[in-house]
Amino acid sequence: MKFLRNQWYTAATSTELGAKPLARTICNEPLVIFRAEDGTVAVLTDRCPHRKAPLSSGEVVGNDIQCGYHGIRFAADGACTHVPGNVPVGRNFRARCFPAREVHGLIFVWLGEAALADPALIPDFGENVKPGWTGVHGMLYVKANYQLLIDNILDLTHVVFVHKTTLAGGGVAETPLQVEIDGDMVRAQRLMHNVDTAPIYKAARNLHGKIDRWQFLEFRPPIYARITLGAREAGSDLPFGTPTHVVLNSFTPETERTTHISGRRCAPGGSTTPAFRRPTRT
Amino acid sequence: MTDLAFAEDARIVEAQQRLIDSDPSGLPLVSLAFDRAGLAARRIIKRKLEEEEQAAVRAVNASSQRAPVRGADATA
Repeated sequence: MKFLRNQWYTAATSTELGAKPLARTICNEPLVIFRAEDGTVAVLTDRCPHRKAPLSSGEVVGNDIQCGYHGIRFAADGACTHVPGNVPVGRNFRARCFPAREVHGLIFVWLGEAALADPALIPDFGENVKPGWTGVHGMLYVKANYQLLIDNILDLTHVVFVHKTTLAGGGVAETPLQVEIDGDMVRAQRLMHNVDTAPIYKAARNLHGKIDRWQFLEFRPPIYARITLGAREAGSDLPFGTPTHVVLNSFTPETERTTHISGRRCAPGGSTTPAFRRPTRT
Repeated sequence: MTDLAFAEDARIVEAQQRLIDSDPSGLPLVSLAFDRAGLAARRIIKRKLEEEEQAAVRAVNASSQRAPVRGADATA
């Protein structure tokens, strides 16, 4: 199976990347992600050009990464900056470098042609850092192909059966999903009026009776899905369509059968709504 | 609660992947009306993969045309 190369992939969350380099495989490409001393994020192939040992087994030294095997160092652009004993190396002795950007609390990597890596193409995860919006972020590792996960997020019919204790509610399976294809983008929505509430809206919004409920989905290939959800007491004043939750997902393939999901559930206002509390494990 | 929902999704989709991999029937996945958005997403990804492949083939052809022919007259 082939993956799109000329795309920005969500590689990690900003908070995941500490002082130590992070190893992460994306689209079968083993990568090392590291934060240089100057704060910038760099992504190189995780194979040292010397003996193909993982660079991620080493450490960050200044603005360079030092291989954990023989201590050879590479700069953020992949250039070799130091070899122990000053052993001479050829001009082509460098680590492959991938364009990287850190924005909206996430680190993105471009796997294809560097000249095409336009930062304007990074999908909008703005609610991650929007003032007044709070949420919970999580990285999840799932042993399934990313397209199965995209199918899952774009078909919210399943909430009635898979999420009985949380998201299921009246009207979801019965209301047809309206789908619009706009170039490379897929938009879908399901608008429900005067339906039974769902457990999540009882807990998070104190909505116990009949509700109006809306689901807006937006997908941009290959990995970005924005879900905007909301509900109000049936017929109340809250404008129909007001977002009460935004779920920002990216489904970054690790391999054909494994996926890194970055998911952030955001809501305007405080973070104390029960919907965003992590379930207590007992 | 949304964390629980994420875990519920992961459980069913991982099981689905295992059963797809072990399915000897060779039958394709079936798309119903409510799968339309997911199907559209798959079609867009497929089209963009084809576009990337065609662009890569064009780049290879272009660079092979530019490559100097060994022994050829430099002024040709």
